[in-house]
Amino acid sequence: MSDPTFDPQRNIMTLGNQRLVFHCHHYNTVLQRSIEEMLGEGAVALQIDAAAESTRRLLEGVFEAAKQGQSFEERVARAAYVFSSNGFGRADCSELGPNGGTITLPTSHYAIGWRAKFGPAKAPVCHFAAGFWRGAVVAAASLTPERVQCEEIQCHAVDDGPCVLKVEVR
Amino acid sequence: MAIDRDAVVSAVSGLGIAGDEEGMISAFGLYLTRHMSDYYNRISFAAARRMEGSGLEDDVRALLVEAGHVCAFNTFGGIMKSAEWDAVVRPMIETREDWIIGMVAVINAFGWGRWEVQELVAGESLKVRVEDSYEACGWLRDYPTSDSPRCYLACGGVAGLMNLLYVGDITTGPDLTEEYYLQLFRAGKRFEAEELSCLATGAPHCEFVAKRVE
Amino acid sequence: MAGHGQLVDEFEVGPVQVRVSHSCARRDVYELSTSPPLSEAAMEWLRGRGVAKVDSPALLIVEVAGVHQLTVAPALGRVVAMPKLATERPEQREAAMAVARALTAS
Repeated sequence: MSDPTFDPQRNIMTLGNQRLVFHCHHYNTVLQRSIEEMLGEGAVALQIDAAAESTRRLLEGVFEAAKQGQSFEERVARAAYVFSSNGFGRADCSELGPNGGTITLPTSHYAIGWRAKFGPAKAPVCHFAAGFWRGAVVAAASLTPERVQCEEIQCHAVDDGPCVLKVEVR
Repeated sequence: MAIDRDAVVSAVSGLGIAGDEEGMISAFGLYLTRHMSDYYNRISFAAARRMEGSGLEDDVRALLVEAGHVCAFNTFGGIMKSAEWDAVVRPMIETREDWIIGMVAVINAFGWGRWEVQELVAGESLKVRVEDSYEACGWLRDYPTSDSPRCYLACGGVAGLMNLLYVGDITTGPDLTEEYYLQLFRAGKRFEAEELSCLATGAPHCEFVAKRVE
Repeated sequence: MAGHGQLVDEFEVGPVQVRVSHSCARRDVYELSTSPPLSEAAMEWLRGRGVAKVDSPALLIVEVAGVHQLTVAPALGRVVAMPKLATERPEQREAAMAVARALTAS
């Protein structure tokens, strides 16, 4: 559907003209915590913005390469496949539309990884996932990025249930 | 049989490492992601740039390299203890140093750019060259030529390879606990790495050397 | 709370050594080791559990939908069972024990 290509001579993996690299939850969560220690309050917005922009670029490339399936729902399904096949978790987007809604993550790499590495968190940790879905809605609905916001309103790292993201389109 | 880099790359890239029906990648006993390099670069470089002029530049660099140490310890360590390693790489290992050569071969299936061991002096030093480092390439795409090296993750990774083999002993399959991490990466005779040249500064490629702390 | 990779249990099922390590809040990992190499009967049994992602003489990776992923290094007599997150720990243990019993029987 939307899988990366790999150049074994140069060790470069790409999807949607963007480079992909393997990393595990130890690095992902420690890097996140380090960034948050360095930058304090601004760190969450930085991570969401970075994820949204990276995802928008990648998915625009993926959508452009796809010959069919260009409705909002089909693009969201493709984004959910990219999210899942790259190990970020499983996304239930049945409550998401072009005007916003919610996304439930029965599994989320960052939340599961954070709990495994550091124990329960005091606040939601899936900033990458929030940014991914903000960027995905921007790309799927061809919106100006500042019109879309995404916030994690429930996180497995905090209270053991699924993660829930709230998407607002203004 | 020495380590056959191409065979290892082919085998690892043929493992079908991708999310399962739960959206998780379980390989080498780890939770992996196939992540956007842009994401790592943006958060790391933004943090480094925001702290420029604060007097804390060295601390920021140390934190970002430390994340690389954690990656090396858990990811490389986890891989070298895994069933996949036992099946693919271990049959080619003849010497202790082959553990590092084999791990570098595995890295060459991770999308990080081409890693090559230039020189490995047992227990003393490791020199690695990286072409198309995702960190340096990301820097060059988004920022002006840098006045300092920018491959924080790779720097931590190169030191980590040596610490796993010559400060600890990954060949014995130790439990990769927090205590063991501190034993390896805080030891008086630990290895630290320096990026001697970096694509981000205008060099033709990135080069690292890991040596014991004096 | 156990940390990732921490040993939580270790025991034997016949000639099979079982090491159980904490993976995350939802699952443990089961490492099964026996005298190498694994027999062809054992390999056939393992292949029959689900869909083989990788099936070479050196490495077998089988996805058992809704149960676990089995990673097998036959030359070293090693099987790793990584349970699916949707399963509960008692089910995870029972599924891993079934593998251990099958290795014992073959």
